[in-house]
Amino acid sequence: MKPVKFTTLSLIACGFIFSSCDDFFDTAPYDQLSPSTFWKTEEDARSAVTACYDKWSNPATGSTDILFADCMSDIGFNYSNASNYKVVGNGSMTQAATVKYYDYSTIRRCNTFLTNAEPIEFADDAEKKDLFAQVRTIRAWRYFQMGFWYGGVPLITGEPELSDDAKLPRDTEEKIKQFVYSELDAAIPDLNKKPAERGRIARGTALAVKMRAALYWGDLDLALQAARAIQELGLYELEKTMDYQALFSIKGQNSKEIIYAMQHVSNTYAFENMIRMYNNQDGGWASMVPTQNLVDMYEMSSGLLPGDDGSGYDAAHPFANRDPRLAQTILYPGMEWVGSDGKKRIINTLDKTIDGNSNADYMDAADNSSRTGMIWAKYTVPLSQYSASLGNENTCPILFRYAEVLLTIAEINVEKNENFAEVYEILDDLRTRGGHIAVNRAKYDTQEKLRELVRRERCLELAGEGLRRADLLRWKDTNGKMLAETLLNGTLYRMTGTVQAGEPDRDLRAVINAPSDGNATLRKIEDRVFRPYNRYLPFPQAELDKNPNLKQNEGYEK
Amino acid sequence: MTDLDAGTKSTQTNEGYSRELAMMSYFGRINYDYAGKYLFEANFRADASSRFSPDNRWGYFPSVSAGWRLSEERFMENSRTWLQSLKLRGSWGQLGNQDALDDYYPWLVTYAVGTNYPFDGNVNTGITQKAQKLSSISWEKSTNWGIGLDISLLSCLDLTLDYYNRKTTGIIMDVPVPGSFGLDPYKDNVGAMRNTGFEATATFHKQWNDWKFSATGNVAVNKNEILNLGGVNEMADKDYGYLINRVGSPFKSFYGYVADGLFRSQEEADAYTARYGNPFGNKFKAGDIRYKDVNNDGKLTSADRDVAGSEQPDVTFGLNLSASWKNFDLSVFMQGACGVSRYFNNEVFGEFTGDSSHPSTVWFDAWSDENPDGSFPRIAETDQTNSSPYTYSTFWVFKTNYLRIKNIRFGYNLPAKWLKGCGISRLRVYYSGENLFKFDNLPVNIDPEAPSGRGSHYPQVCTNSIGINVTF
Repeated sequence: MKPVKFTTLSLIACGFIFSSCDDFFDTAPYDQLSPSTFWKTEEDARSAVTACYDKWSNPATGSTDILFADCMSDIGFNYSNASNYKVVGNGSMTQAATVKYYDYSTIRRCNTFLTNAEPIEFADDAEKKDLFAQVRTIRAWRYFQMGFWYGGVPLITGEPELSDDAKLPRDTEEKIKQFVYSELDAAIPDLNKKPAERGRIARGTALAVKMRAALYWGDLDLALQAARAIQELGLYELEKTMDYQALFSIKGQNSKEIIYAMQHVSNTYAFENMIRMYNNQDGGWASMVPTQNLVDMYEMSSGLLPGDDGSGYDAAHPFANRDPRLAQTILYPGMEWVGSDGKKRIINTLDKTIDGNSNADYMDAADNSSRTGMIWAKYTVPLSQYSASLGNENTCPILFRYAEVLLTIAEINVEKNENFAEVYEILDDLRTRGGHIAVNRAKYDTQEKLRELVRRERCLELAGEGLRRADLLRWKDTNGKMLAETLLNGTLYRMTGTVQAGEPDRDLRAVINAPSDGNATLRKIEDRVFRPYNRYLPFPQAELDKNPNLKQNEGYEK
Repeated sequence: MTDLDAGTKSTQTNEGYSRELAMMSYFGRINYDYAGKYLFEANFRADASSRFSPDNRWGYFPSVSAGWRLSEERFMENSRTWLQSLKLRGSWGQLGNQDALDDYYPWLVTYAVGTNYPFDGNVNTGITQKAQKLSSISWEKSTNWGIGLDISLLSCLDLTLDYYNRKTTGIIMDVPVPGSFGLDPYKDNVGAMRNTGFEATATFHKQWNDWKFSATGNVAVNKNEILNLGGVNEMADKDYGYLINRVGSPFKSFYGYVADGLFRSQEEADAYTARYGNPFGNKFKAGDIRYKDVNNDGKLTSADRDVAGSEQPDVTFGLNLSASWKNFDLSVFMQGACGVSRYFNNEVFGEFTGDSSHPSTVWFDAWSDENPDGSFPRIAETDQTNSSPYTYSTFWVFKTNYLRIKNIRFGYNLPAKWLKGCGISRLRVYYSGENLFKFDNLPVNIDPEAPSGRGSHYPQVCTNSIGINVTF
């Protein structure tokens, strides 16, 4: 009989036993602050305000949005669909793929400041009010952006604790609009007249936000009021001491025309996307480029439009004898250019090979070459002002400048059918400072003709600065349809041809082929569609999933 | 400030972080063996972590297991000749986890420094709340039970069979927050997942005179299923558009439009567009992938996407064979997997764009007028077609079932009598080959274990070596 074995009754206890267990677990981070110790001093408040400024114009792509946004219009194009600007431009945006303008991160920081900073004592009460007003302006700007692009969105002014607290239904666009106006009206008197430091929001910026919001939302009197208030500040004027292109360069960053530019500093808060502006041969990505549509809008140097009788427009040499501002806004084939290698060359995006060698700038050479054969001249001239990486720059993209104020005044005067004399003065000022001639009063004598001229001038002046799509959505044609329905519907074409480097006249070097059925495929970039419901952007699918109370904009539902 | 890392001269900044984590655990075990027939074990552990608030700090995790060696029982005495060992075992246990958290303070709301902005060319420091935290966060719990059987038969066959069922609850996950929340998702114990499976190992070994042979095979079948995603039914992966987590499907399942063949003619494509519409930016042409109307609403929309496999194999298996005759020995090891897929993108098949892409030879069988039955979509530039891998669809989900001959080793031990007098006690000459062959069903020559996406991964190297082992 086998003996019964009782085996192994073992008990092991292990652990670090301290006399006061609770203290052992009291850990707190040494590199972060907690709400109980923050919100005590003026410095705390200032730091919280600074946090609201980070990427305040557009939380998703930051200040690069200013350079990208025109790709969503008839005058710009993006090839790679970076950040989904391309699909908005050609009308194929869906809830699965669309630009990320629906973002509350900046708004949350503003709400957190406005709620928690109230009890903080300030030595100078005016400074406290100014800081509060800056934050309210930032928040109003964000709601203006979301309200305009999406229609109504949930209006949140507090700090939701849990996910469910934020699953709110959309408020109407009208309610958002009234909130934006009332916030700005409350903030404007508290703001400093002149920014205490470059980069601070002061009265001019808040008025500019109000002006643009009211203009976009069709409240012309409010917009005109804001524009006049900016004029009365007496701080801004059109830049005439340096040439037009310099206004957008590092040299021009202190110009009196700039009302607000998004700030960047190399190394510590750098602008990383200059590389997107340049063409393939210089190592750039040609992410945002101007289109043929923009080229066609410029007048001849005589003031006639290319399509007018006796204009002298030569389709084979489209860049010859044009409004000088064309060459200052667009870098086109035939122009002289100093590249990233420091050497001078003639811009050639039309020929596949040059002297037997393949041409890196050729339109179809690579994903990084400009499909339209052109790149923007704003911010890019000269290449030498930037570092070799093109990704660590001091570029400060301009959000508001005085030219927009003047154009707004002109546009409203025309719409109200009054004060045409001021309209002509403004247009002359803008045209002549760019080197063009004054307006032909005899030609543009009626409200309708002047409206067409003012709209065109606004497009040409602000081209490449991100405002075009909104203009196409708010301007109606004589049938009451949005301009976008005509101008963003149809095929986007480019030019094809060759560059005669030996030609001494810069504007005659590019020789463009006549459009024909034979070269139709080569000339075509993409088909673009715009349906009336594309006035508003779709909410991303992920947002609809996470907030069941959010109703999608019409046209985009499954 | 307790830590400061080195900084770079170019940016003139440096940073450091300092944090503290404390953990305490107690555990105990009881082990009992009665007559080598009845086995019992019980464990208990209690763990505490400073990651959780004082009310949620401690987690208590027991486990028990029992075994019964049936072959030792009296009534099994007669079967001893053919049944050497038979053991039945079962277990149940719980464990906690809090290691998935990077954050040392997931329950404490903190303000972070770093959302800066320059004023007058000087970067000012911004301080703000980056993430919401819930003080109720606590341990993830995994409950695991299983039964198993060990058998030794006929003195030459050993079998081990196991079934397991592991349910993990309270998985710390990001709670999906709407954009209107304004902060990153906060973590809460909301997720749940189950893995059930079956594993078997069988070994056979036999010797006849000079021949010796043994074979060991194993197979593991696993089913993974997400049970809870914190209130939503599905969550798209943040980084990859072709992945989704959905309740009821495996973790990180492939997700896209459902491919249903190719349009063989332009008429077919036009008829489809007329009937179902076209949500994409390019027109449907002959040779494009035909997508299914999954939800049968008569339209092709982004709702017509479905789950199609995952990177996790349903079955993995291996087989190790070895044989020897006199002084020769041979062993072969092979392994493989079934029910496994990968999503391969443009870079695997090559694109038609610019001058520097390298399309693969699969495109020889692309649809064309001369080849209307082609297996691959019509050749086009990536952004001019709705049939590229960037339009995420099941066409680009490939079954990567494979069998790999992992290792072959062939050796010869020199007879002892040849070595006498050399001072060598053993000399073995061998050939060894690694990763010699693989069998799979892929249209391109890619390692079936390569990751999804670009498949960029250093391939497994095929090595042939010859060697000598000498023992002096």
